[in-house]
Amino acid sequence: MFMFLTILLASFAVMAVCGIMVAGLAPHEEKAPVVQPERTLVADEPTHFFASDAETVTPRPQIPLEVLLSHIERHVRLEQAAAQSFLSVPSAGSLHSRTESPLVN
Amino acid sequence: MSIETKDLLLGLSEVEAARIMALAVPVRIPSGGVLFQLGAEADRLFLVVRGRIDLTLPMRIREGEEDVLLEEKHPGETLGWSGLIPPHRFTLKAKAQMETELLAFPRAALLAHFDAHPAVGLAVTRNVATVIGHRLQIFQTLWAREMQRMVEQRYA
Repeated sequence: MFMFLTILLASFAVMAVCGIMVAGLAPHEEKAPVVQPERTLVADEPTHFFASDAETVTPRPQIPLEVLLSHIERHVRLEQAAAQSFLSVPSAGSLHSRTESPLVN
Repeated sequence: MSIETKDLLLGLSEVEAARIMALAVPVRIPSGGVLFQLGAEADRLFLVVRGRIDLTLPMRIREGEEDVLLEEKHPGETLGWSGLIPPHRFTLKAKAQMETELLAFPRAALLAHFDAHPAVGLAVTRNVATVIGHRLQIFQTLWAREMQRMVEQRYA
């Protein structure tokens, strides 16, 4: 009886070892790749991080170059007049006085 | 040579002014001609005798570059103070709006004259400092106004 139990336990032990070895040699079953959901852009996320606001502004209809240049020169004249006015009587009010410049309004 | 000067020779006697004038070389620029380019070496000061000089800065507009008028110089006014102030590079472009006559005062001749007549040098330098100071104050104010608008637009 004792011998029978010994052989039985030894058989179990051998089978267990064989089972472990077979499991180790058998090719691993590939796990199905976990599909990451595509990262969607959040609506308020900037599409170009370094892009300036100027680039994202909706383009205005182009005016002729000559007209634009005349607007710029008028802006310069008005701003210089405003600056001259400030220098004559310096105050916070005159420093930031409103302008009629077409480039600003 | 009797030419009205609105800034350069203020405070000088007629004799002193005449001595300065004797250092000048006449220059004639045709309509549309360039007196000096932005960044060019500045070795002389100019006094407008007749005509008009436009001082401009380049601005990138669309695909090209355009000269934007910043200041006009009329008869009696001085321009090109970079000729006296280091690093002696013009910081604007000067173009004749019409056929224009000027007097050019070479820096070397002026400095030599100032060395010989320190009181004259002080007076002229003070006049040039007034022109420079006014330009600085104008642009400081323009900058402050522009900053104010930027703050209002972005952070109002």
